[in-house]
Amino acid sequence: MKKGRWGEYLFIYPAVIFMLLLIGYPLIYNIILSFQDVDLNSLATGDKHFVWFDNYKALADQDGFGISVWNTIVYTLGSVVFQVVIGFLLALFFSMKFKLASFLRGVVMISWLIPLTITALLYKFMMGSGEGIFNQMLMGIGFIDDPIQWLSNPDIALWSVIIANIWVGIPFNMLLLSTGLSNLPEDVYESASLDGANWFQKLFKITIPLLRPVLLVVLMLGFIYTFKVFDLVFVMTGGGPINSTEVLSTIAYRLSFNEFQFSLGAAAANILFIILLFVSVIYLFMINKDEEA
Amino acid sequence: MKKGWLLSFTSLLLFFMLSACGGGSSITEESGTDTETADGKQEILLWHYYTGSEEYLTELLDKFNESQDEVHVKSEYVPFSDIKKQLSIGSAGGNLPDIIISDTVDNASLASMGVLADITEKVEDWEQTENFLDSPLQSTVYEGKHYGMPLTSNALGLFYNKGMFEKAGMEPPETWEELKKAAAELTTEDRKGLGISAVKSEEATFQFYPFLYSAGGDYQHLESEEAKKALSLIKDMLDNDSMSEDILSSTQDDLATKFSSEQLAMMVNGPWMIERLQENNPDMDFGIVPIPKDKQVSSVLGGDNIEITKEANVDAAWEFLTWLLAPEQIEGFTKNTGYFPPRQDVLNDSDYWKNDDYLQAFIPIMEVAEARGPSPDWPKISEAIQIAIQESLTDSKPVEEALSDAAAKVEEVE
Repeated sequence: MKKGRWGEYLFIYPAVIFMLLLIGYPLIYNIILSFQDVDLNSLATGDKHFVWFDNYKALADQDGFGISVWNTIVYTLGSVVFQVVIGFLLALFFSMKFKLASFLRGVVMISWLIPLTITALLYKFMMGSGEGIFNQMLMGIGFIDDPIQWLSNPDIALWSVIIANIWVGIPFNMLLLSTGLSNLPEDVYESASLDGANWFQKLFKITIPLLRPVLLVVLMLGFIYTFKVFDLVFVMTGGGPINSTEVLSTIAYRLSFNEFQFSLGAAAANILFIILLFVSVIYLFMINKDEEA
Repeated sequence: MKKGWLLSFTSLLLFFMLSACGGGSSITEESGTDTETADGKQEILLWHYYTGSEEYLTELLDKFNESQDEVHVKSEYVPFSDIKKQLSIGSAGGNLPDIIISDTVDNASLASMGVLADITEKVEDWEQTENFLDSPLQSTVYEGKHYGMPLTSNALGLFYNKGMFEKAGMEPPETWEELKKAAAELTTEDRKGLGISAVKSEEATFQFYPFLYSAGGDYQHLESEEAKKALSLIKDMLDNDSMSEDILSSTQDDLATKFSSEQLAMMVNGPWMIERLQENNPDMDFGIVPIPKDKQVSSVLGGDNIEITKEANVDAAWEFLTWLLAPEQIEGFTKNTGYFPPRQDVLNDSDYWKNDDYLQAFIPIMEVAEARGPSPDWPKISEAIQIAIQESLTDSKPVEEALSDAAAKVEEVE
């Protein structure tokens, strides 16, 4: 903008105020809350004194906190990698303009449309150790001899939730990548064909590099959506067995609404926020670099 | 003019930060108590979280308000999940209701917050107190004083599929040995003998409690032989396949679903499931007996307490409480909410529970149901128990170690 016309900024204030009220206020409130000592008792007496980083220290000592951070990361990376890879393959598949392609693409979207709680209940049912369809099928084709304890084995439970989440996330990834694919210029492919490039060369030398900005967006959004997982875990396992599927959001929920240690809950939520902020900054940095280049 | 933009932006930000800081300190002096209605009646405000039986409650209140001309009770709905938070905020602002209804396990923590009035004298002086069941009454105690009265109660029993038992020529089990035997014998390819909930939530603690107390254990001595025996029983039945590994993620709802689709021969569950089972599978014939015992028959108490807040007009509130808790009112109210009355005399005299095939099974169970805690730190104690259950059932730790770890955690908070 030109100098000396700061009155023009007035026009952006409605939006800025709106954002501050709806996004800024809760964020800042939460940060302040995490530096205070607030539980049910202090809410009752009104004595909210500052303890600064004591909550974060207490959080680090909490049973299951360390593992919940680790679980959140494993859950996010595991989900995002498979979602993007499978979503990308499906997008490639549906870009091969065959009959029914758009119809089938619509059908795949169904898993994105089902409410998460329902998906969680469905998977819980399908992953039942005895009558669950997963075990029935795997045992039917002779892939396994004994039923897998999908949700009852602490070593497997997290991956079971990840499987459910991959299923949920594929259509979203596929849709964004499909749009990206349809926007790629045709002429590049034509000249590559003339030069004798095969399918794999086109994929790795043309499609993926050209799709980079879209891939970045997909990875970024996938990361954010997945990192703050709550419903799936809460309904499928409740964070158990033991702490094997406990994630940051379930810890924050438990602390705030079961034990009413609001400050500790806020601290856990802030750690989630800080990690997401960090990832967002990396993303912005990469986007900027892309634009400069 | 980059600076102007920055300045106004930061001032806005600062404004919000300051207002966020100050949010908690603005205490209003207005008090919700000691108000009078137009006709000179003392006004009493009641908070409750009943959704299904709200109409009936209003009817009751109208009846009370018309029955005398000193107290006028009105009610307000506050969602269950919000009630603790609303209370602490109300307490800071001097805006407490006069009477509240809470889960029995929350009574102690509300008392520890200093929100509730100590009504020990009134409870002890009331000639009808002796008619109340002991555990519900004990659930109102914090540091030796009464901070409420029991309002509604429920407990867990053993549901069994009559058809399966008849076919096997067996009687419903009464002891742990019989339970183990029945569960093992009734387990087939496509069903399990028994289902209990061991999911990571309060439900696991709730369901483990009857076994713990039947062995003579309690939550303060989780390292004891009795506690070990109780947890080992459950682990044994899981290990010999009488129960499915799915119990680690099964809620009580899940159990009811499996029981009504005849995938379970027995389950531990509460009276609120009866209607659901009948709806889901009208052809199924099932019965209810007390949970099999080790040393003594035991169960776990659930339900609600009713409490008077510290700033209320205690006399007026108590007058309403004694009216509501009198046999005539409490019978109708508990019937309507699907719970049981916390009074021995009502349980014995009323035809409603006695004559119902299913509900009558819970009358002797109610009499032995143990209250959880009471402890202001119940959620933490409960979590320690949940973890111990899950650790031993998943073979992550031997029973003994899991329980002694839990005992250490309980000791820390107590």
